[in-house]
Amino acid sequence: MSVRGYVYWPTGLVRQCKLSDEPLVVLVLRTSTSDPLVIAVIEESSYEAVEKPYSEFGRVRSGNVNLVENSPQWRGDYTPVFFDPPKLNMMQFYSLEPISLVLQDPFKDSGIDSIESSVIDDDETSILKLREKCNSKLRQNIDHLNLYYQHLEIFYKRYPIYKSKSPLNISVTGLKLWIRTSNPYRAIRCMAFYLAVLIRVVAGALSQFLNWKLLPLVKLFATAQQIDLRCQQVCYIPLQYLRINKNMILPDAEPRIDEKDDINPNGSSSGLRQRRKSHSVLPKALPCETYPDYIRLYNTLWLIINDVSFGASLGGILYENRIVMAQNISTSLSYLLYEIPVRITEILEHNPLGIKLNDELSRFLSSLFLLIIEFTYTGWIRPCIQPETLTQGIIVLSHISTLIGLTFPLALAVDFLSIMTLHITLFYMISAKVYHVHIYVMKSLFYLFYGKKQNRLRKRIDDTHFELDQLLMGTLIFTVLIFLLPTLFSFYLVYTVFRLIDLTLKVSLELTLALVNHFPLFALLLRIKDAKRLPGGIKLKVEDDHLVIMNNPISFLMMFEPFTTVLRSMQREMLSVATLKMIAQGSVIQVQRNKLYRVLYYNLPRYPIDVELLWEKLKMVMEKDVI
Amino acid sequence: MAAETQWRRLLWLKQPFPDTYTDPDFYKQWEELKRAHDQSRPHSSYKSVLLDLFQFYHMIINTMLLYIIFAWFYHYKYNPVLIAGSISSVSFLVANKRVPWKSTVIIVFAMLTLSPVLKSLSKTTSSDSIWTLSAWFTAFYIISTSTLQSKILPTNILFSNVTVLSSRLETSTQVFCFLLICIQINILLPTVEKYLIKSKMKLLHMLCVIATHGTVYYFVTKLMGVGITIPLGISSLLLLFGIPHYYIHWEKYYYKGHPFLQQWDAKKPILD
Repeated sequence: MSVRGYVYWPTGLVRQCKLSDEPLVVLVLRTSTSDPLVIAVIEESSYEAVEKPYSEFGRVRSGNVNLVENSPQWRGDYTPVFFDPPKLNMMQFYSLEPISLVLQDPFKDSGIDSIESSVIDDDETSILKLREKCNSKLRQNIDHLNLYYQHLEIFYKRYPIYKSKSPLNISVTGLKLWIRTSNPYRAIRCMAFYLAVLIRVVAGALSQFLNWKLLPLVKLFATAQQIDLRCQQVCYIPLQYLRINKNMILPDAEPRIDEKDDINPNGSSSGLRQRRKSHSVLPKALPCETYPDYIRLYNTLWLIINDVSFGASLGGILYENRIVMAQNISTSLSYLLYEIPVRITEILEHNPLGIKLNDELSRFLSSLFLLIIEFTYTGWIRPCIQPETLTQGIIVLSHISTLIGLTFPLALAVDFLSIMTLHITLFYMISAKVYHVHIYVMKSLFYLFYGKKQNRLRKRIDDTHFELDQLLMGTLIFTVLIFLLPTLFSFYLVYTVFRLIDLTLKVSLELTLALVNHFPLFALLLRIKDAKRLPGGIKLKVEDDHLVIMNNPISFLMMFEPFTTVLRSMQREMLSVATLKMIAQGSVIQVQRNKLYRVLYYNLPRYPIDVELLWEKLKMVMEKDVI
Repeated sequence: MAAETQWRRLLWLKQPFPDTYTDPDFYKQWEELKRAHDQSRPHSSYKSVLLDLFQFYHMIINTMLLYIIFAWFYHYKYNPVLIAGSISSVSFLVANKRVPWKSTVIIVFAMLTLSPVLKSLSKTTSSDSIWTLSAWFTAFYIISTSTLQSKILPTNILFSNVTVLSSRLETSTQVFCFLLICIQINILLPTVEKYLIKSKMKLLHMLCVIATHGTVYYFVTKLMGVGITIPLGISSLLLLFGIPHYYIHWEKYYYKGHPFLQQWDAKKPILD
């Protein structure tokens, strides 16, 4: 019986076979669970027998690897699969699942498996098992392909005679060692060590203060959120460094599990991704596990640098144009925040568009709103939007921008806008609440009107008997409310439109902020520079009579997945039928910044690493390096 | 062959008879039917139908009272307090035991509070819309009273009609008095009448009915002249006495369940 199988050929060796005139002996790595992997081809003249786990696969005579004369122990039909050996030190590798650019939940996998197995019947289970088996075999093969150079190194250690013939060589620099023993290096290292711990303590405390449960500043101000983000990033950097450069196994920081759930309910992809961890037979030296951390760390650093450099140019522009800008902002803000609301409220008072509203109520409402406008305008809007004040503000802003980056002025602008539009928020809240209560009462009274009552306990509408006085009172109030509804609704609608415009403006500013903070710049550049470093799976291509295994890099869309999620959730909250329904019911529409923005926090753990643990680990690294 | 199986008047059965087959029993059945037709079927008595119809007519007249009172205030500008006071005292005497004291007070105070609001409620709405609204309310009221078992919806519709109309009045006093009178007349009057029927005070009931009808026709005459009242009265009388005849005729010959009709009616399939 002939065996059918695959044999994995590195492309370098295939080329070597083609160039060589002599017959070549093909040596493979043989393990019980995976397919043979070609380790070396050796000229027949200089070949000596090898021991396990290496084995003589066969001989190539004509330079064509498809025509291998198989040795007796490898009888059978083997299809060659070509691959480019990934350079692990260049951080290239194959992966069956796309690598994650955000922190994932490590415990999610088991749940999905159990659901799968419980739902399907016996027949399907057996098919699934078979598939699982094939899958795990492929997985092991892929692991060996990833470790190709390591295998090669081990092979050369055992059989040094073949080494000179190898087309690949590995060099070690002695310079590093020399530097590490010098004194200035030690001093710098010591300082870096204390600095890292100090920063962790200070930034952690600041972040904790901003997230304080009693007064969560993060939820109120965009600036607080920005500061919090930077603090968390700074806290996470030492951890990432340790994990990448020292291969230290640290307790994986708790990722944002609960938040993931309601945004991406079908978490199957992440489950698959996680499955590889349990199957993985890779030594810890492989960068696959820490590699996403590497991308995240450098992405963060790069973005911070970017931010500062953008900030410098923005600061310059702001400073140069401060007077013109202050003038324009002052006039436009006073027009938008004072003149337009006043004018529209006055129009509403006097039969807008020929619709006759209830005089008393509209007069009452408009005088209430005009009072609020006057109060806020004289209270803080007018002093704040004086051109002189604005000029001062822009100067401060430009300094901040030059020092700590573009994001801070942006966040400050968002906060400035929210304070300036406080009266619009207030109008909206008042009218929405009144309208909501109005609708609610009308609904109940309407039930009373035709002799029904809501049964709260059974959640249905029941027939009831009402007394005459109840009926009369109910109908009287119902009639009054019906006549007042159009007036209230027109006020409510106008302020809802105001509010939505205001929200759109703020949200778009915040999105810009998010883009500057979380743009996957590093991943994008990696994708362009070397797609092999961002594996998103493998693909097999048929060429003539052999297969070629290739890397399927992560798609661009996937890199922007957090952004698309944010946009989708925003669309759900602001531009959907549900929103219209909410407006009709008078429920308050609120876009919670942290709720929208938290998707972008996914590349950060929820809680920063424990200070003592960090101290301990850093100390360990210091001591190890000294020895 | 034909003698063995009985022919059945069912088209969907495959029967061993020619298409032109006529059942010998057909003529017998026909005779029976003719006899049944000649016999008078049980039907409602003329008196009971007349009384029922009269009740409906009386209900419409009662509803008209509302507009008459409105016209008093709106068109003739009568002093509302006088009328309201007199009617209140009468109804107080009549229905003293039947309506709880507390709820009366609550309603009166609620109306007192809301009458200024009601007065200005529809100030910006044109009168025509209010008249239309009120007409629709009346139509719904009449339909719902004569079709629904429950009295809740009719009462509510009536009261909203009153509320809507009252928002046309000029002073708060008028509004309050109008509401009060309308509640008393439209809600208490039927109750009183029912009570009178129940306790068999026929004379009082008759007096009550005649007073109502008299008031309505008096106002119709006053508003539109005798030229309208006489044709209106005659036609309503004709209808009142003519419609029961027509109804009984229909019940005799056309009401479902008549054996003559039933024999040739399309059969309703009985499923399970």
